Amino acid sequence: MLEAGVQRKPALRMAPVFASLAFAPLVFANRPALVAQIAPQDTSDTPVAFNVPESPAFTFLGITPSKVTRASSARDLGAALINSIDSTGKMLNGVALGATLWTLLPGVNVGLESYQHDWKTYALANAQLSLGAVRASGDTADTELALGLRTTLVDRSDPMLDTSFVRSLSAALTGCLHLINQPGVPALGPPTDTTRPAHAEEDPALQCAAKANRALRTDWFKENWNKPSLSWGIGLGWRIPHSQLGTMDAMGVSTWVTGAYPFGRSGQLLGQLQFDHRNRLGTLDPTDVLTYGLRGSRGTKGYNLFFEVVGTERLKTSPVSSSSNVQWSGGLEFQAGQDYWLSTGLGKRYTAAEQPDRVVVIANLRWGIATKARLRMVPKYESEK
Amino acid sequence: MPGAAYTPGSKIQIHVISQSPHTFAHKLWFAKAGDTEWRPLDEGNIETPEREYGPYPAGTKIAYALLIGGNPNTDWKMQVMMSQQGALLNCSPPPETGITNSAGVARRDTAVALN
Repeated sequence: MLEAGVQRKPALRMAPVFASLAFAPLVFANRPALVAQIAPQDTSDTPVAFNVPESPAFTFLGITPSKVTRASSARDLGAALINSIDSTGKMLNGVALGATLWTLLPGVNVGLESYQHDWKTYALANAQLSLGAVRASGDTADTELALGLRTTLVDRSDPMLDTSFVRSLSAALTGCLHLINQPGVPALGPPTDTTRPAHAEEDPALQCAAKANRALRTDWFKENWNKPSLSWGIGLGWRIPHSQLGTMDAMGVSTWVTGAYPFGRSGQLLGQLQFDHRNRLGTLDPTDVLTYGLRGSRGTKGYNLFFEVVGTERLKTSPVSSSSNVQWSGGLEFQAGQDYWLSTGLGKRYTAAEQPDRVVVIANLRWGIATKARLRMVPKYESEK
Repeated sequence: MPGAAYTPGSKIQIHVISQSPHTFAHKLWFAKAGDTEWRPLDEGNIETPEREYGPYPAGTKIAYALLIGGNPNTDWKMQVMMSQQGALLNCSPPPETGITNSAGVARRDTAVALN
């Protein structure tokens, strides 16, 4: 269950706030929990990624596990925790564990009807736990341990909330049943219960279901991709001296809130707040950092535009460092002809977009010329295709 | 939790329930002791109410295939409830659980013996 392939990213407290902003993917990320309840790799490279991290524990530690063990029951979780401690009571490094909270609670179900009508059930169904442990940086035998929780409180761009969508999907699944002639279990044999998952790649019924679900979701998202959503996450960390369980020094806490709201039919407003508190560590002073961002975007067949403001406020800071930082970015492009797009803009997010084929100056503005749209914000659901 | 013992002379009720934010379609078969092939019994989906089948002799096997759909990479949980006269049978299978694939679907096949 343990996976040693854990790489540490530069710790957030040490990173320049906007250092990696230019490499942020231009995607909408308003519904991460539903697309991947536990993603094996956290993609929030920037302080303002406009999504709550899939695994706040890993983000708190600044690690990107190459593999995350997913526990689907309390028993799985218990086994994973036991395996993360060696025979001498030392916490092992390289632990990356994720679980859907409700699956760990005995007797708890989150049926579709309550999922659709009760926000508390919805939040519970989407609550994800993450746990990570990594060797502390520097010449030390200490371990850093973090526990994370994230959930989506509201997401109107979740198709499973829509009874019409569910009805269509149910009908489509029923239509795929004719491809199952016999169950995947033998009729002969001892009279005991047998369960066998199907082989996904070769199963025509599963392929039929996958094709139907993808097609229905794609159609549904065309009308609903930018509906309101609100997500929250928290990560808490501890340092374990000499990796020996018993003493744990609190490292701090990080919490995120991300919201999305439609901006007409083809636009979206995204906002995010993150508060990060780190306790004093060795010679490093304690820090309190508030990071915020607001992004608006709109895209049609003929034009795309976006604006964005991101900033940080260092609430506790040393006299030599700046206490706040705000950056603006924006861009506009339109289709001037077939395979001919003109774009202009400013700021790091604009320059992070794919480079144009040519740059010209018209009316004192630098315009990029490209054969395809560069500033189109790709809705995250398109990654499901 | 122990359930009721199977009574061969009585009909059996089967109801498939989703206990997670997923929908499904299902297909049922049966095979009496000595049968080498499954025989189709019924099919349905999340809207199908509890239905009655049988009666079957002891040792008859009931098989089901569940085709599950929902959001990608999410934990699903389904239960096939087998009962007689309102009492859940001892041989009723435990909840089925799993994770949908990247397309948001999953399949699970199971057989149980009526005993």
